[in-house]
Amino acid sequence: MKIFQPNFSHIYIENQAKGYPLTKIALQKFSKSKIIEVEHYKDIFNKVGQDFQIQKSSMKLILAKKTEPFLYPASEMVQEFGSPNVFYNTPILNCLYNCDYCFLQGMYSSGNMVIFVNEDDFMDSIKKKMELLDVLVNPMIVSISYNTDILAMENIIPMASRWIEFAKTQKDLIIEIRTKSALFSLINNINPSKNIILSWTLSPEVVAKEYESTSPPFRSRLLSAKAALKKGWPVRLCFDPVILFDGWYDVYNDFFNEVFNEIDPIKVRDVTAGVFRMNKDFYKRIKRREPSSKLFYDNYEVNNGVVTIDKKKRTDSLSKLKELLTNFMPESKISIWGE
Amino acid sequence: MQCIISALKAESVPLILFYKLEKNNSFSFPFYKKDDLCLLIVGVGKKEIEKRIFEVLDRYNERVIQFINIGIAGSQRGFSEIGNIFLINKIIDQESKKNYFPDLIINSNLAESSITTVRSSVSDGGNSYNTLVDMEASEIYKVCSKRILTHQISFIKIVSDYMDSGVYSLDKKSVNLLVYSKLKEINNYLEKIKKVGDLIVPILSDIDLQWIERTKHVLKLTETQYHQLISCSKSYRLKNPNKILDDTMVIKPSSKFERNNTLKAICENLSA
Repeated sequence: MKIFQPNFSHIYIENQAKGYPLTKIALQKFSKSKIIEVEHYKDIFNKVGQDFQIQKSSMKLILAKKTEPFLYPASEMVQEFGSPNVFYNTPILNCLYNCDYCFLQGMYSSGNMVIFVNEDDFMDSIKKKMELLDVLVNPMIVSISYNTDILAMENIIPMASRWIEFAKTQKDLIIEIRTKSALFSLINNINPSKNIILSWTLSPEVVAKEYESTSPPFRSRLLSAKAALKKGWPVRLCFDPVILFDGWYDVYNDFFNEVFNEIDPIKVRDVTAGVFRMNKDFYKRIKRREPSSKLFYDNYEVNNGVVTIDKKKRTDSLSKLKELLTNFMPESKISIWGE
Repeated sequence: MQCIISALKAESVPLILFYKLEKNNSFSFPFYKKDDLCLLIVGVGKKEIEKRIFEVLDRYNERVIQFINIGIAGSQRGFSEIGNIFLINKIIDQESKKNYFPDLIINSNLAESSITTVRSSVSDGGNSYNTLVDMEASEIYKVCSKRILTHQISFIKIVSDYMDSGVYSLDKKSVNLLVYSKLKEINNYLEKIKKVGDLIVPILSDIDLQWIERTKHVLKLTETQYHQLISCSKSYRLKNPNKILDDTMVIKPSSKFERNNTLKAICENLSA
């Protein structure tokens, strides 16, 4: 018998989260899970003394109702091609996957996942914000998958498809759904829209195996991205973070060749790339827990509260990386963090 | 190490006999131990819990210590049969109205229930409680979670009465029998959570730590340099699980400048 309970063996539910359509879907999906009532999701999600990594072995689902704010200005660590009206929101806290370099393990004390079921409040806040912004010149861009992988959750709770349908109704809104999932098939029946960017984070197989072991393999993600492109979706490819190890250049060179052999670079909306970086406090918090990933024992510099590769190494490698990418597409389609 | 916490001697006796635990008289309270398992009796109610648990934690400076509260609890008639065993998934402190949620990561097969921790014994049938009832769980959780990770704290309760004559009003023999009859389930649970504890293997071995301490002493490292050395050593250990940390570069320096250069060389060597 397995030592750990399966994921979502228990569902914690706030009283005020009861009755929402998403709550009903989740409870129906996990009808065998034990239900435990909580007054406020923070009573369990923010409790002291949790071990993020152990909890990842048996994640629980917390259904809650979010209160304001529903929208946040995008972090400086996110690239968005210089556009000013960029925001993110948090319909879900935490991720089904558990990548070594992920900031969520430093941001949250819990490995469990929170789903905010009052999706209308999130959507209304975007509509209100759009009224205040000059969206005719610069459309509002909202990343809905910043603190999670919303598409990876689609077969658990179909939030990505609901957000896509919402975005389609908003003329000057673009939502970005960043993912490592191989679940494009679950939204394949939806007609593509210019209001949605489907962004796949891709890493060379060797990097994916070492640092993204709980995510779908590189090839599955690539084929998902390919299927989305074929259907006509705007697709962004994110090579982020690029992991710098001995021989990285050759590995990434082969990797880009493999990617663009499968996917026509002309059809790709754009690409982003960047090296490992993390908010200093998150990094410290993770390190205190003695992570077993080599990534946390390399030498980094701290720059404006961000832990990252030292400037010389970073700019050298990113310029080489950009050179590789420009073999496939014009510079205007490439956005790089940390140049 | 695993530490069973119980309130009553009568709850403990079957466990002491089953695990062949021996009394350790160096504690000022009842404490039993054998190998990696110990048992601590905290008495009825919250009063002694913090002092006793902290004393055990201070004495046994283990990297991983799991606390398991095992004891009897009252139940409303109709909520559970007497003798049923439960893993606790929610603890409600009646006094403070605070709720505590033990981590439930183990595939235990035990039925689950919430529990209310009350200040005074209940003897009116407990109709106002739709949970189990005891007098210690919330305090045990509160105290343990100050010092250890929450997945290392769990609660197993056996229903002993219908709260019509007061919690803990049962005779010792009946309590003995209730716990005795659930030893198999308790043992299964302890074995399973032990496996979780065994999964936590520190990156650095005791030998590595000795090398780091030796290097710190010889080079007279500052605290910052000491932490830098630990970090480099972890990186080295993750990349080289079977190699030993080498003493050849650890030479007593004649100045701070030389010390700094030596440390730099050691770290470069470890990171190579």
